Amino acid sequence: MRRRKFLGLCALTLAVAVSATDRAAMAESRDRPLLPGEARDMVKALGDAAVTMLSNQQLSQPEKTRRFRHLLNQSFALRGIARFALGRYWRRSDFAQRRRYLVLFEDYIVNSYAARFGNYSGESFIVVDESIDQRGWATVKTRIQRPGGEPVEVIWHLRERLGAVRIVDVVVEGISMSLTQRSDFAAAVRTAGGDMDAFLDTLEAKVRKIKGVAK
Amino acid sequence: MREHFMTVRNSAKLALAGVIALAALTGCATPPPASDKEAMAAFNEDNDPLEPLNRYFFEVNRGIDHLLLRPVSEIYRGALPEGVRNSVRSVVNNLETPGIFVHDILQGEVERASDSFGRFTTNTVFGPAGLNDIAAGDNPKNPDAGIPFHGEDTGQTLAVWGAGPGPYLMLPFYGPSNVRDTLGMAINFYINPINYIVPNEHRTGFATARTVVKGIDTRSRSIETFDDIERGSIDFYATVRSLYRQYRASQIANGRGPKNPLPEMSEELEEDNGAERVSSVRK
Repeated sequence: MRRRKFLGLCALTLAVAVSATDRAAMAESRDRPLLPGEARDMVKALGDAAVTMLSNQQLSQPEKTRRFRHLLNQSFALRGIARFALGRYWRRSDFAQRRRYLVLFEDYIVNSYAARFGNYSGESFIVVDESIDQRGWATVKTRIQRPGGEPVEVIWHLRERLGAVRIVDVVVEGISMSLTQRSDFAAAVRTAGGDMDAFLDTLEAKVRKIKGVAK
Repeated sequence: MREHFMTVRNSAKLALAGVIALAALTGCATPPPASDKEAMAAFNEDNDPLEPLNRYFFEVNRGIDHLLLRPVSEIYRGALPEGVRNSVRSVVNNLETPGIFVHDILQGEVERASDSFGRFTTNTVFGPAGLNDIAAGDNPKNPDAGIPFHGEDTGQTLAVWGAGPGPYLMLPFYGPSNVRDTLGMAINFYINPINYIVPNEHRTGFATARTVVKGIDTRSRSIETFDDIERGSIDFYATVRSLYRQYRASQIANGRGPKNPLPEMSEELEEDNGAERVSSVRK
């Protein structure tokens, strides 16, 4: 009996200690401001990789999609963006719904963009400048130059979290992709009467539909 | 011609009466219960009390776009080479520039006013007649050379003066707007000095023609973009509403918007993610 109590105490202490160090590490990493050039280099690498991938005509569409998914996971705070996009409904979802949502969200983003790969027509990607605010968050201003067209200004927002620098938002000509997604999802959940499962079914159907186009 | 004005005015009145009647019939968006603070905040953020009516006109506009605007834009794009279409846009932009100049002044934007003045004189004289956007000096090697076009309108000036947007409105034919921008659109006609150089009886026609040409040209340049947005969105209406709001906010800020457009996003991203390591991100 005593032994069991002792073991229990040990486990508890261990759990507290682990969670304390975990939290300390997290607090530390959360506050690390970005170093000059860090965000800029990352966005530049991402842009170059995307242009290389898109302009490579040898690659098949599924292979392009696969590479794009890899780039997306590597550079974006995908989970954070997914949570933001769902807004207050995230907190109301249970574990299984969240799990299903995160998988669907990634598929949704990947396939939405994969459906646009065919539109690529020799655009070039130019990094203009970078700024870091007092919180240590970075914005990188870039320009996508279409041959013979007007340049499109794209601003990337980056943040460091849990030891990794990630993109949290992309603003195209003043329009935030994350915010737009959030408006879309909020309205869709409302249409579903606030029923998360119904919304997830709709999202799944949407992903299937977009996949059909991307092929 | 005067008679024509009267009929235009009368039909506008009739349309307004029709809209009010329809609003009464379709009703307003039902606000969520006051106890649900988050739902209430979202409702206020949408600022769309006429949502059912707006959604109705959104579908009407999509129908018009499908039957008329989009096909015409496709023909326009297919029939005219790019150089000609760029000239069309350049001429229309040039004719709007005196009005934009007035708005730059009204907003206290000295540098932008001088940009507009320089653009108008350069493109009118050397364009010539605005046929080429010489002032922009489009050079793919150095996009910072020259002065690019920027738009302004009464809605933006009113916003700079402190007017809020008011409820969101989906106008028949014109598309997304809000109370302030709709009012601005009505006033804008009187502000552009270019309207006063044509005889009184041709003024409305002149302004309408510019709006129509600009509409077709703009639509022809966004066919694929809008297809993508429509395909990607679950609630196309809500997506367009969000896009319009952000687009206007960015226009009003003249590119000096807040550094981080998502102040509330920090909260979501800062929250401890450790509890939900269910990501598909991890392979």
